[in-house]
Amino acid sequence: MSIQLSEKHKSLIQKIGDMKEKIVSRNRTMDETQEFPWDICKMFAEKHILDLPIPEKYGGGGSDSFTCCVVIEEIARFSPSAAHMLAGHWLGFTPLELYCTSVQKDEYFPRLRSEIAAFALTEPAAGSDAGGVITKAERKGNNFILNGTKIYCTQGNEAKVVTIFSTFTGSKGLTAFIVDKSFSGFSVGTIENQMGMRGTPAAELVLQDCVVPGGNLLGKEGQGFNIAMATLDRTRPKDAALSVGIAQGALEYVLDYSKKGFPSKVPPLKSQGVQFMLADMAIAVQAARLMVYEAAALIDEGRVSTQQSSMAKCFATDTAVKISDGAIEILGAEGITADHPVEMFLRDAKLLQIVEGTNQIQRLIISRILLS
Amino acid sequence: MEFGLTDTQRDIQRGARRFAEKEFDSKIGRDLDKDGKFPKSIFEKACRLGWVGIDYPEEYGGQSFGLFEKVLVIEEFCRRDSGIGISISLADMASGIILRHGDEQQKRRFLMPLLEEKWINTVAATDSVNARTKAEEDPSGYVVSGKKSFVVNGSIANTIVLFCEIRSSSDPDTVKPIPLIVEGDREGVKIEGRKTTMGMRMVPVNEIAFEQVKIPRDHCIGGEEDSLAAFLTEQRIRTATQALGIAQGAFERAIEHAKIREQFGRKIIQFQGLQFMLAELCTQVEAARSLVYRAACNYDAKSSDLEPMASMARLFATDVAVRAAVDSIQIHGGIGLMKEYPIERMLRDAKTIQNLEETNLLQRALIGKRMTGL
Repeated sequence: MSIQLSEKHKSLIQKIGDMKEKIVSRNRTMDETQEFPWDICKMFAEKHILDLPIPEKYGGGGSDSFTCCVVIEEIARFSPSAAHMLAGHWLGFTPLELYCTSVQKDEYFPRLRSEIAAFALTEPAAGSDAGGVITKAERKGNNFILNGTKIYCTQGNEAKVVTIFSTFTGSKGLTAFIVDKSFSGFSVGTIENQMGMRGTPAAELVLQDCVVPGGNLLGKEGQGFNIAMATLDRTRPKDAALSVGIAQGALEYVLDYSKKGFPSKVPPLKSQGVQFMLADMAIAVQAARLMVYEAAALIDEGRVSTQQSSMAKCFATDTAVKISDGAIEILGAEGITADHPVEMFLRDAKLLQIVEGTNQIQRLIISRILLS
Repeated sequence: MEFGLTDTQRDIQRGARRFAEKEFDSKIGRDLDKDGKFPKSIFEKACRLGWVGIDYPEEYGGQSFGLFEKVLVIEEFCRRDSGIGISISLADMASGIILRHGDEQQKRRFLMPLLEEKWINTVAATDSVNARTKAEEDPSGYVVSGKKSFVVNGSIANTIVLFCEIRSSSDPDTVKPIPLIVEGDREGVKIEGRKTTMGMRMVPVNEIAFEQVKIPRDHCIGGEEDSLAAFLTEQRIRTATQALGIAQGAFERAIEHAKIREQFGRKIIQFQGLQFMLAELCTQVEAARSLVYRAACNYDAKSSDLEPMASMARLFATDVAVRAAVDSIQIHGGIGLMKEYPIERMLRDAKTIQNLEETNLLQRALIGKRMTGL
C-alpha cells in the first residue's frame, strides 16, 4: 500500500510553498542572532499551520499525526528552524492533548492557536535519566508550590504555557503540571547560545515558590513519567519528519545547484563517485520517510507503537546528519560558507540526534522491546 | 620496521603539548572564533619559541627538523584547540614552496622575517570563477591581473605566493603556471571580500583581486619541479595533521565527559553501548595517526611513495575528525550543542578543513586514477 497524500495534504503543501520565500529570507538572521521568528510564527498562526493539531472544536485544524508530519517535513526542507518552532510547539501541546480535562482544554486550547507551548523535563542531573528530576512540588491550600530549575527547554523563553514535570511530596515518581508563564515565581533564566536550530534556542526555566493553581495538575499524581513517555511516542515521529525534511532539502539543494553549474573544471555531479553518493542519499531519505509515515499512521489508527516511533526517530535523525554532511562535501569549498544553507542544515540536524531522547536511548528502548 | 618516536621526537611532542596547554585557553578560543579574529599574540609566541620554524633549516632561523616533527607539533596544537591550532598551522602555508623551490635571496628576504617579524604567508591558487589570473612579462618582471578566491589569510598575509598563468615565450599557444611572490601591500593587490565560514573562523578566507600588479623578476620562484603539485601534497599532510589533532582532542574530551557524567546511578562510561562507540573512535584515530605519520616520514625521506600516501592520509584523517567530533558531541549530550563548550566548534572546524582547500571527492579521484594508471 503506497503512501498517498490527500487533497488536504496537497493544499497544505501549496500553502507552505507560498510562504517559502519569506521564510527562507529569514533563515540567516535567525541563525546569526538566535532571534525567535515571531513574524513567521504569526504567519503560521494566521494560516492555520500553528494550530493544526488542535481539535476543530477549539478552532484548530483538527489534523492527525500524519498531516502534522507532512507539514513539518515540507517546511524543514527549506528552514529547519521554522519547522523546529512548530515541532517544539506541538511537543508542548501533546501532553495537553492527551491528558487535559475538558475544563483545562477550554482554558488552554484556544490560546495555543497563537501562543507557544513548551515541554520542560530536562534538568542538569536529569538528561537521559528522567529519574534524576529534583524539581519539587507540594500542596499549599488550593495551590501547588513548585521549586526547581529546568534546562534546555526548546523555545521555553517564548512559550506562554509549559508542561513541567516535577516530583511531588507524598507521591512516587513524576507529576505533570500546566504552568502558565504569568504565574508568580516563574522566570526565564539563561538562553543558550547553541550550534544549530538557532531560531529556537534552548532556555532555562526557574521556578521559585511558583504558585500553580490546583486546577493545573495534568493527569494524576505520579502519572508524570507515563505522560512524558506517551508524549514522546507521538512527538518522535515529528522530529523524524523534520529530519527527513532536512535530508531531502540538502539533497535537492545539491541537485538544484548543479543545474546552475559548478565553478570547478569537472562538475561533481558528472562524477560517478558522486552519483553513487547521491543514490545512497536518496535511498536513505526514502527509507526514513517510510518509517516516519508508518509510525504516524499507527498513531492515527489508535495503535501507537513505541518501537516504530523510536526507530523512525533514530534512523531519520542519523540520516539527516549523514546526508547534510555529504551535501557539504559535494558543494566543496562553497559548502562550508554561509552562502549556502547546507552547513546550517548539518548544525541543525545534529541537535535532533540528541533531543527527545538521544539515539543511544532510542537504541535502549528498541532493544528492550526486541528482547522482551 | 619499528614504530615509535625517538627521544628527541618525544621531547618535541611533550614541549608542544605543554605550550598548548599553557597558552591556548578555550574561552579565548571561543571568543576568537566568534569574532573571527586571528590568534596573533599566540602565533607570535609560537614563532619566538621555535614551534613555527621547527622544520626550517637553521640558517633561516629554524630548528632544522623535518615535516614529521612539524606534524607532531601541529597535532598537539590542534588537539588542544582546533581553531588556534589550525590558525598557527596555516600561518606559514607558503614557506614550503619558498624553502624547496626558492633561491637563496628569496629565502632570506621572505622566509627569515617570518620567524623574526612574525609574518604570515599564504598561497593563492584557486582562480575565481570568472577571472583567471594571468601574468605578462614586461621589462622589469611581470604584470599580473586576475582574481583568486578562497585565499586563506588573504587579508592578513604579509607575503602571498601567487600561482598565475603565463604564456610561454617560445610557444605562445601554451600556458604554464608560475609562482610569483607578491607582498600583501603591493600596489594593485585588493582584498575584495571575506567569506563567512562554518568553522576555522579565526582565519580570514578572502577573494583577492590583482589589478595590473607589477612584480619584479626576482620574485618569480623558478625551478624545474612542479611547485604547485608539491605544494598540494604538502598541504594534504598539513590538513591531515590538523584533522588528526582535532580527532584526538574530540575523542579525549568524550572520554573525560563520560567518566564524569552520571545518569541512571552510574558514570555513563560504564554503559557498554558508549564503550563500543569510544572503542570504534579510538581505533579510527590510531589508524589515522598511522597514515599521517607515514606520509610525513615519506615526505622527509623524499620517498616515491609520497602520493597517494598524502592523499590517503588526508582523506582518512579528515573523515575521522568529522566523525569524532559528531560522536563526541553525541556523548556530551545536550551540552555538546552549546557554544559554551569547545566541542561544537571542533565539528565546525573539522568540517571546514575537510572541504576548504580540496575535497575528499578529489582525493578519491586522485587515488583511483593512480590505481588505474590513467
